[in-house]
Amino acid sequence: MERTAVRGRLTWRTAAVTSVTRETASVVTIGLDPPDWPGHRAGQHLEVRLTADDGYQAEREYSIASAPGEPLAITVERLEGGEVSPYLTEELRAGDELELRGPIGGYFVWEPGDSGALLLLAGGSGVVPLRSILRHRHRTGSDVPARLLYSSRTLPDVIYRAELDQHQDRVQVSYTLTRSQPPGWTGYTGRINQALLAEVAWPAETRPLTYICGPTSFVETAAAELVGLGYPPERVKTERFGATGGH
Amino acid sequence: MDALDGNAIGGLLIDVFGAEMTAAGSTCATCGATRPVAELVVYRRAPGTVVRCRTCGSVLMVFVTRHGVTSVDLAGLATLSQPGSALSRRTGRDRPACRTSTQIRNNEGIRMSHEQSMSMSDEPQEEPMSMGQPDQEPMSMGQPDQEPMSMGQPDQEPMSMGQPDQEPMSMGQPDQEPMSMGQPHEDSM
Repeated sequence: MERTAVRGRLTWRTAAVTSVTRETASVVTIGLDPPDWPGHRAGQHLEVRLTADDGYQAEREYSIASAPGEPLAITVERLEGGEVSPYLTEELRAGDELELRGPIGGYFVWEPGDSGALLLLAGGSGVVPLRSILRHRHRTGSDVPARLLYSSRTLPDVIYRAELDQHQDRVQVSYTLTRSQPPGWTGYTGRINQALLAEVAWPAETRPLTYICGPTSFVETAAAELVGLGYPPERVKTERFGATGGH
Repeated sequence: MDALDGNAIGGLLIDVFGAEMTAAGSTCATCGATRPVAELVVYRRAPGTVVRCRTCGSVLMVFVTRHGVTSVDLAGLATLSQPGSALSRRTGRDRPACRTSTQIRNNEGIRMSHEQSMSMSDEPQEEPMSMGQPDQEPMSMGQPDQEPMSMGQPDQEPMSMGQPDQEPMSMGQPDQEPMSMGQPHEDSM
């Protein structure tokens, strides 16, 4: 039964699933239409709750993939042995219903008024909230220059590749492929490190605003290397989702 | 289990505090490090969530939920500040729906030493408060010699929750033992 939303509280809502779009072999984007959704900010996430026949419930957080003002969508990566993501990526269909609550988060968010060039560092499905930020930047007509460095195992694992490759308008997108590269690959290879960041990232003295999202080890390496390059720690915002991509 | 960060418990913190708290500032009572809650180290293993200092590793916050009731231990925090929010340390007299209490509890080896209950003061209480039972008597189980938390110990940092001019509230016991759950070595990292 739907409850009236109470300000200052998160209430569970039953959302209609409007679409399920396959992004990669293990990743889908789920369009959602929750009743009385209050809107969200770029970079926020929401919680999804599944209830088994015996009443057992499992909750997980997923980053919101859509920009503020767009129809709500999340992007979910299948985790082998997971309780929630296999259902969301393999079983869920348009027309189904999904319990969710949110939006959540006031730290890892970006507003067009925030000053400074944007540096976005994504590890795997950590690209999801950064995609929301890029779409929000585009939709609001922001002219803040932005660079996205996206670390992925292989090229077919890159989420939103067609969309990201279309970016122009002062947005630079770079990929580094850590596991294997297609023939003729001219992008970066290997895990993120200081040499790569020194080449791709804005000079520290320009005081960029940085958002890093990905597996814990990726985030901690990237954040430490940026600070080593002189980035002010208070302008490096991070979000970790564990070892294997829980978002 | 890898460590997460404070972003991952944004929903839990709204349940507990009635406000967005990942952007709130925190101060470790042990080492004095300050950073946003979102940047703290978080271990989640049902039914408990342990939040540690990223600088010294001390336990800052513990949340344990059983039967829909969340017990909250903030003893490792010197300050938790959320400028401009409805959160207030001022209790009873000024904001009737905003309560704090202190109790000593020992439950399954976890010392729940400080419980707080706060909510937006002007909203109906649709759901039961999710933070223990603030009105009950303090109880001590198994640690008869343990000193109760006291408010405003002179040698401790003032508790600041968004109203800089308020009276100090002490929530830190810097020399306490770390909690027995959620320590990094227990996790399969």
